[in-house]
Amino acid sequence: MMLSRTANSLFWTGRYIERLEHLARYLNAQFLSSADAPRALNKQLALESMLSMAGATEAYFKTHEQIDDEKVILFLTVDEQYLFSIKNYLSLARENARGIRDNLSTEVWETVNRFYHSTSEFNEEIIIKKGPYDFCKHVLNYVNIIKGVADNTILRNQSWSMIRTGINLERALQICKILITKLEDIDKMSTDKLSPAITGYHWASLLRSAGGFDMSRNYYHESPNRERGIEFLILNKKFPKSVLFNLKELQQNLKIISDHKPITPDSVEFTTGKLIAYMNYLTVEDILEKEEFLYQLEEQLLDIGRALERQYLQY
Amino acid sequence: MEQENCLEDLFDAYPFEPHLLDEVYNEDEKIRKHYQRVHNYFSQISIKDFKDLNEYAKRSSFDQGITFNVYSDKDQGVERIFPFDLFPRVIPNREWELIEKGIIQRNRALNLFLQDIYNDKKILKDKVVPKELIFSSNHYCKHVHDFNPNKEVYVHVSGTDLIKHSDGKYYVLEDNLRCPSGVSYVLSNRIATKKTVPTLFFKSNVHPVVDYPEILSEVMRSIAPQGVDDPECVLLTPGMYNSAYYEHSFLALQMGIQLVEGRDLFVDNNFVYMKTIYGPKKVDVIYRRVDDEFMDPLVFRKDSMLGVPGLISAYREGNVSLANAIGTGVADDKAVYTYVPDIIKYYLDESPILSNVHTYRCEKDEDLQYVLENIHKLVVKPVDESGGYGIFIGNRATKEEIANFKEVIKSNRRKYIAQPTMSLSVHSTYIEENNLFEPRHIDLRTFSLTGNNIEHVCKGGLTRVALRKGNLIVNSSQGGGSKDTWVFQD
Repeated sequence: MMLSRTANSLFWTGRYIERLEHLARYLNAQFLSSADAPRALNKQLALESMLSMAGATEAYFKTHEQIDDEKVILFLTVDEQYLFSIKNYLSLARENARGIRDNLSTEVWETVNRFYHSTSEFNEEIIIKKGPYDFCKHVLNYVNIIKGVADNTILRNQSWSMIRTGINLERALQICKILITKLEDIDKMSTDKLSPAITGYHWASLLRSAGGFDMSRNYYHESPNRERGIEFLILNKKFPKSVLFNLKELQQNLKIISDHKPITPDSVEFTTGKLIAYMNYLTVEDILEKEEFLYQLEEQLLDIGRALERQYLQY
Repeated sequence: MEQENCLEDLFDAYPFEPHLLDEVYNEDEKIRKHYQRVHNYFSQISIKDFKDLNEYAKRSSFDQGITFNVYSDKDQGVERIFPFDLFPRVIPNREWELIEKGIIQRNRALNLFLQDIYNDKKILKDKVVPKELIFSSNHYCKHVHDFNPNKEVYVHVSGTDLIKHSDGKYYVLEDNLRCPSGVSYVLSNRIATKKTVPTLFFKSNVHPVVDYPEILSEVMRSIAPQGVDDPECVLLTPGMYNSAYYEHSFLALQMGIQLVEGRDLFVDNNFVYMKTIYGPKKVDVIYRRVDDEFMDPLVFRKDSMLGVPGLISAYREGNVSLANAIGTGVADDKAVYTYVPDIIKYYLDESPILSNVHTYRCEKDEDLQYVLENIHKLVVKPVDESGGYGIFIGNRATKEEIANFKEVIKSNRRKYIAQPTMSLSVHSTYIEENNLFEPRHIDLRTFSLTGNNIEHVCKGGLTRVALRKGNLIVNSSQGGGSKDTWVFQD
């Protein structure tokens, strides 16, 4: 038995936590790698890329005239006016978690709360002085602690599956977003497109941004390139960040939430199953041939979110 | 090796205030018998360790999110913890027995009173309580006339405030019969005590308080509508921006019931349902922490977003039970308070076990006369406010303030009562700024539960401390703190 409003808060707690994790990792990876970027790349590109990945380009230029490294970093980390900075995502996650206190273990709630209060201590001054590294590292550490505590303390019931559903969907979306952003970055460098050094650098940085660099090397025993990067992040069945892996987990969680009820064509279970069936028989060559593939995939993932909302979250 | 400084040094420097009743020390400045063990234990703690424990306790409340927002703050989002003093308040068993009997007596009488004034009105016809007083009360609810709640219980959760006067007697300061809050502090203070001074706690034979949520749950089940064997119980909260939201979520979690908001519920055909991911589910009992006037926009305030349209009609049909019942506020009106001894006599034919503070009702001519002449030694209170708001303390006011306030009283006599300034007892309390233990005024909010054949008083309660020196108002919204309250089993 679960209230629709509760389901909504569980789902969004999962999504916000996942979203701010990816944002923090991306900022960190971009910031660090822009420092040792090859000649043709500049800081400007890394900053544009951060804004684009966060979906914040438009919002940024509403309040700023030009790209400035301090301003972009502040905007995406601790800006309290901008609704989609990491700090604000964290407040949203905490407010949602507060609304479902009775579904969470005390340990999870206290960790979320500590995360919130300790992150509040980072202000503009500190970020300007030290750069985003400490802040992002702090965020990533806490997200890992929260996930570990949740994993070890929450009952494996529908509430858990609802949080996981939010995490799975958001992770698939974020991976998609990272790929889209990085491919656009590469395109912007069209003159150097063919240089293997540049693409090698890009793909390594892409995998790092998605938190998959080590595991892809472990899997392929080769340096990353376009094929391997895309295949690993979209189709790998064993890597917990790949889109397909998350869709399959999502499907399992939906089974628990729906209590194994029969599936009708207008249901979120159906929409998800259909996408998985399609992706199960997809090769990386198919993906590379279709230019619009990632944009379509993003749209399909958003469809799943909309169907889920219609079916379970309205109150 | 240098001797480490212990709390004993701080206790030795305790600034006694001889004209006040001290809970810990007797008039000869000796430790009272029931405090000896606690006092000895604390004496031996090094000052450094104590400060660490104090920090730990604060950190722990903050992490748990036991915070509240103060309404008058400019910044709405500011969170404050309710300061918790590690030195517990101890109530000897023989004193507690009296308190417990007195509260149960009061609950019984007030319950019969509510039943009567909404139905036969015998006490009004017999002129024991003037009917104008009842009908003019803001909390008197005409929508529950000629209606009996399931099992005829009105006040399921009651928070009676007690003080100990310098004469050594307990007095009832006020009854809280609507949505009294604070019990989560009782439970979390106890947890903090167990963590910070475990050896002392486990050696002292203290009555547990941890059974409160379980008994509240039994109370809810006991008042289920006719024919419902396995009732669906929920806790209705105004939402996460309410200052007591922590408590609502805490109690729901402890009882394993759904925490709902008005927007989660709807009424169909006089039955109440909650919106779940599988569609509507019937609700039978609601422990509501939403005030009467916000419960149902069809009956009360039209602009309320917190309530459920049609709820009162479902309630009157007997299809859903509410704890507390609608309309209980009329009995915790501070003017009605003055009649409680008569109410006890009338329904139970007993004399009150717990005394009332003598109260002057400004609407009575001779009382008004007295109040206007003696206002400098009285505390004047509005009858229908809670949280310590609107209180006028005569001996703290300037001549001009007194003159102005006299006019305020005369313009709305029904709204004000006055009481002699009671000398609340004081308790040794750690004052961080001074690094000293100092006497501070305290009171005691008790929590009692009434269901069908259930009468329970939580053995302990919330000792509230006025942290500012000399201050008599202990409410959390007025800068108060709290202490764990121990009732010894022997």
